[in-house]
Amino acid sequence: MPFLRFRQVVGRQVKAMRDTESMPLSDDDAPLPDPFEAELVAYLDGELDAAEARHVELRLASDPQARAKASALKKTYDLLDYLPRPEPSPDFTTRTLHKLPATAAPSSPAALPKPQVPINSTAINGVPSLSVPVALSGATALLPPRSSRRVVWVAGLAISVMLFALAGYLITALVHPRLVPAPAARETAADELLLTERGLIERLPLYVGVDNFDFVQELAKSDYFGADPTLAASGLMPAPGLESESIPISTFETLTAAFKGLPPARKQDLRELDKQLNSQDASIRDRLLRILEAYAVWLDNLPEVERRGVLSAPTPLVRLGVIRDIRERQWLNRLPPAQQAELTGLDPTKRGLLIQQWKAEEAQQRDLWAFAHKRAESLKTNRQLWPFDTESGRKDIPEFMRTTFRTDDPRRSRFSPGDLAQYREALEAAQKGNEWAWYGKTVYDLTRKYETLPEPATGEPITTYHQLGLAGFYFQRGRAQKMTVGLVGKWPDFALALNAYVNSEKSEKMPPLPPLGPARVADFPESIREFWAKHLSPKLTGAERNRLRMLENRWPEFPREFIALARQHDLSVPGILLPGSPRKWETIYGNAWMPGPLIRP
Amino acid sequence: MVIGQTSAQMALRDPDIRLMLRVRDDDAVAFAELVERFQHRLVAVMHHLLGNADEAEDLAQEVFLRVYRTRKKYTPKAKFSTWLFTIANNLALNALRDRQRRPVVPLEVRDSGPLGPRPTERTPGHEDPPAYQLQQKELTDVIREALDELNERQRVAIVLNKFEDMNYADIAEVMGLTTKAVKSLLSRARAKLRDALQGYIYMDTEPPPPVDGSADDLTSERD
Repeated sequence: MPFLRFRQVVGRQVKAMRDTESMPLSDDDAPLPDPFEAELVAYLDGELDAAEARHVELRLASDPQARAKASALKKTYDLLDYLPRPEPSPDFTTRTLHKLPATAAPSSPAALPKPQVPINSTAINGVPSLSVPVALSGATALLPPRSSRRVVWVAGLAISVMLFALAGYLITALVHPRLVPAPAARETAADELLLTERGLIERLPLYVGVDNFDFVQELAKSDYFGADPTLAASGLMPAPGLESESIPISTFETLTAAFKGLPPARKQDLRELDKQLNSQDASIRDRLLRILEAYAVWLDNLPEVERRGVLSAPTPLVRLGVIRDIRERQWLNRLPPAQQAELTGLDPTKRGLLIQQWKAEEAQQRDLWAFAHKRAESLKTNRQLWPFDTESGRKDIPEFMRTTFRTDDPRRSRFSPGDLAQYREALEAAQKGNEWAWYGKTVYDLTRKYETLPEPATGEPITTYHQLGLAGFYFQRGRAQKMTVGLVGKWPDFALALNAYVNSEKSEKMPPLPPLGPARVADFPESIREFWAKHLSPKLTGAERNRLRMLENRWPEFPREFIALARQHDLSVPGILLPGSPRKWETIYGNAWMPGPLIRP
Repeated sequence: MVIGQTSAQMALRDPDIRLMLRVRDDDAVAFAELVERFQHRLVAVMHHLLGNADEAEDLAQEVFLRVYRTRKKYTPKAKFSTWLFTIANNLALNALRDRQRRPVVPLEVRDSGPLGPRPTERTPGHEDPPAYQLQQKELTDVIREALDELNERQRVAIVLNKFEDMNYADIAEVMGLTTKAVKSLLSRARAKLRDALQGYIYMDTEPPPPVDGSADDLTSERD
């Protein structure tokens, strides 16, 4: 093969040239001890072309030593999979962003996601129906009496917030003079501008210290204002900023003057923000407006120094960071004295854990409360919540629960006795008392608590120690047993507990375990393979497919990613996830308000 | 520089490139998204290369900051991840060399030059039965050590190949080598890993591979 040799010689020369340029000489440059080994490794890595691969295969077929060598190379390489996969600390992104040079500009208007829905026509001509005084005077009679919250909005916000609003805008504008000019047409026709942007001007007090729509959606999360107590009763009141009659003419003029005085780029940002807000579904828009109100009131009540800290933050992300820090501190200060006493003297880790636990409890209460609202609405309209509004939904869900969790057999059910009792009670109330809403909530919560993963296509899933051979013997005697109490015989609980034990007890010397469950599509049961081929696979992007492929042969990472991807594409994995759209389950029975986090991809 | 037709098409297909182009245009949200998207891979790779969590995070952070500082120069010509890991590779190699120059902290990283200790001299695995060794060291420690025995370039190539699932051509691009150089680099590295770890691979229920009586290096080293 003269050509091949020529290529090798040239390759060596090029390599020698490139290597001496950039790297010091090392043992990498000595001739290979065994050229066949390089071919073998490349073959195992799938890097040989068909002819070269065939060459290696022929040798493997005839040479047992070569086979042994190949096997040792592969298996030692597979051992690297035992290395723990290190994860970045949770605040990695925040810390990295904080290190950005000070010139890092906030997102440009071009970066804002464009509204998906055609923009609400009322927002374009700036006269939302609610903001027409005549239309409203009749409607107000139907509204519940104004609460003190309402008074804050009218009297407090519109005037006092404005005093520092200008300062806030100016600080932001000074730190980041943005050069993007507003479209000329809008700037020249000043009178028309006022007419068409009346709604925006009325809402101006809500937009103080607000960068853009992404920022608003972040504010709506529970870390910020999504869990603000003032929102709890919000369903009973109209959203702020939609009634022009609540703002006196003189205030409106002050606001107009303030808006006129803003830098062009800031005006443009505000228009964009207002447009996007108005293009949302009414329920989402109202909720976001209430969030903005809660934020504005909060900002108004902050001590001057802190308020300035929020307003002068150079980027939206830094601003969010400042807000979160202040909210966190306020939350701690508001704790009852007994709880505060409990926290003092604890070391930071324990303190953090306890705070986390309290927050989780709080979130759970909120969740229940929010669901009670939904149930009340369903009672009012006399319609069962999805999916129990159809006969098949009322049949399929209990059937899914029965087969997946064996709810009909107390001895073999995956649920703890307490959970099983709770489930059965809910089911009975649903079937006899038509209480499907609570049944749905119970089912949703239980499926979140008890993770389900695909069983292997063939053979029994691993649920006992003796299925693990020698390694099982080792673990059964060890401390792993504590973690698997009550889980033996249950899939995937036993395997997950064992896996968690192996990952947590790094100091113990333990034998390697065989794979604890199927970690490739090919090993999944047929119904799931079919689901993959017909529904999931066609929807995946290249990157998602890649992510999944990289987890192949890792359990439980692979099946977990598989399920997560199905969820992401709003597909229910048969026998694993509750039948029906995962997103709908999440929206109706979970506590997710917004369609998804924004800063995360 | 003008983006050519092909790279423009490539950019349209690859969401990472699209994201990076937004970063280039000073979109701070896009940058945050980029960090979120790549931090796990980058921190993992750095950790595998350096064997130290704090240092891995610092370096990964430095990679992102460098991406940000050089964003204006970015042109979409290869896969975005290749570009990212090229920066990562340079920083990691610098850090590893710095460590050698300041040998104050004897971390797990070994000398990689020709005078460095050979893995066969350092790791257990050739004289003790595996069960005994496992009592001495956790399996992961042994593997970590085997990885640290490789010289820096070998380690980079292995980590990219194993944990990033990168093919030889991409590794070559990241490391500024030819594909052929990567092939021999990986072959040496894999041989070293095999020597260091083969004592640990037949512990499970699987029988050892068929071995004939000849004086093969594999059979003579095991047991």
